[in-house]
Amino acid sequence: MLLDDTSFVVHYYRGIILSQGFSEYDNALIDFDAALSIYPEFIEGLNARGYTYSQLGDFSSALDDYNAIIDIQDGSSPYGWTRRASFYSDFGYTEEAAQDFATALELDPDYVSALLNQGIMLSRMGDFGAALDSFNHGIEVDNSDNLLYLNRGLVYFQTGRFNLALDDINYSIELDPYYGRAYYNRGILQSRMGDIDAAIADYNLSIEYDPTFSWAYHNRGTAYMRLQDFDNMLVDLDMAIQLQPYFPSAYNFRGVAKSNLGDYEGAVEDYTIAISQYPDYPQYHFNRAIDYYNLSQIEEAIADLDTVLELDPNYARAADFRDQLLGFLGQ
Amino acid sequence: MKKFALLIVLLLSISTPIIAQETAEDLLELGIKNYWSEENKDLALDYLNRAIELDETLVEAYAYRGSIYRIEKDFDAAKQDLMLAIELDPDSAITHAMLSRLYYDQKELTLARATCG
Repeated sequence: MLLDDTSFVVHYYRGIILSQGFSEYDNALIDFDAALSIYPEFIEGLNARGYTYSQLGDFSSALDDYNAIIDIQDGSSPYGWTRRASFYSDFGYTEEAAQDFATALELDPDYVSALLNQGIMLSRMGDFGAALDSFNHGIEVDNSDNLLYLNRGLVYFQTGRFNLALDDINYSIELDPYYGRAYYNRGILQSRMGDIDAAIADYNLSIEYDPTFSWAYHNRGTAYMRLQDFDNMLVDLDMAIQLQPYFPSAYNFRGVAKSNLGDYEGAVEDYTIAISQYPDYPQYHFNRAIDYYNLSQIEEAIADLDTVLELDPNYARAADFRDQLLGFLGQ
Repeated sequence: MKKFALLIVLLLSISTPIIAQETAEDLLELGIKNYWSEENKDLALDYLNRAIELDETLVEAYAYRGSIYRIEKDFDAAKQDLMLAIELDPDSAITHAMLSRLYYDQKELTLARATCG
C-alpha cells in the first residue's frame, strides 16, 4: 500500500534537486534507489533514475528503468513509450526513438509530451518541416506549454525566420518566466541578430535562473569578446570550464581571451587542452599557431598550420599564414 | 401483514446500499494515489480539497495540494499551503521535501538544497 511508508517522497524530491539542480548524479542515485526500494513500481522515480543514469552515461541501466516503466504500465500508456523515446533520441538512436514516439502517438494522438519530444528529435535531425508539424499539433492541443513555443521558436531560428523565432521565445518566457534555457536561447538569437547587449542581458537572466548551466557562461564570454571586453570574457570562460571540465570550445575561447590580454603562454596551454579534447577541429590548431608565432616559436606554428591544412585543405588563412612564416624562415 | 412489512423492509435494504461516509483520511489517500498517478492531478486536487474541508489539520493534504499548485505554476498558492503544512507539523519530512521542490522550480537553488535535507 502506497501510504505505509511515505519516505519515498522525501528521497524522490531530494534526488530531483540533486540530479537536476546540482548535477550531483551519484548522490541523486542513492536517493532514487532508496525511493524505489520502498516503492518499486514508482513510475516517476524510475523516470528520474533513468534520466540520472543517462546523465552518467550508463545507457544500459537507464534503458532498464525506461523498460520497467513500460512493463508496469503494460505498454498501454503513452508516458512510458515517450520517456524511452526521448532517451533513445538523446543517445542518437533515432530509429528506435521514432518507433516509440509512433507507439505513444498511436495510443494517444494528442499526447503533448510525445509531440514535443518528437519535434525536438526531428529538429535535431534537420527535418524542420516535420518538427514544425509536431510542435504545431502540440500547440493546437495545449497552447499553454512553454516548451512547445520555445522549441518551435528554435526551429524558426534555425531556418532563418528570426522575427517568428523571437515572438515564440518571448511567448514561452511569458508562459514560464522561470525557465532559464529560454533566456539562453533568446540570447543566442539576439546575438545572431547583432544585438550583443541584449544577448548579454539574456545570458545574465539564464545564469540567474540556472547558475550551473555552463553554456550560458560560454556564450556570454563569447558575447563579451565581440565587445572586446576580454577581462569579463576570461572570467566567464573560467566559470564554464569549472562547471564542465570537458569543454574544448571553452578552452579555445579562453585561449583567445588570454591571447588578447597578452598571455600567449596561457593561451597556448588552453589551445593545447582544447586540441587534446577535440583534435580534429582546425581552428584550435590555427589559434595555437598564432600564439606560437606571438611567442616566436615559428616551427611549432608551422606544424600547427600543417595540421590545419591536413584537416581542411581549403582553410585559406592558414595557407597564407604558413606561406608568411615560411618566408620568415627564408624557405 | 407483519411478514409483508418485513419483506418490504428487506427489499428496501437490498435496493438501497448503505454508503459509509468517506473520512478525511480516505480522501487524502485517494488524493495521494491520484497525485502519483499519471495525469490525475485534477482529480487529486478535488480529493484533497474535500479532505481539507473535513479536516483542516490534515498536514499531508496541504502538502500535496501545495505540490499540485506548484505543478500548475501557481507558486504563491503552493507556498501558502506548504507553509501552513509546516505550521501544523514543523517536522513533516514530506512537506519539507515538497517545499524544496517548490524552491527548485522557483530557481532558488540554495534554498532548495538547504530545505531538502
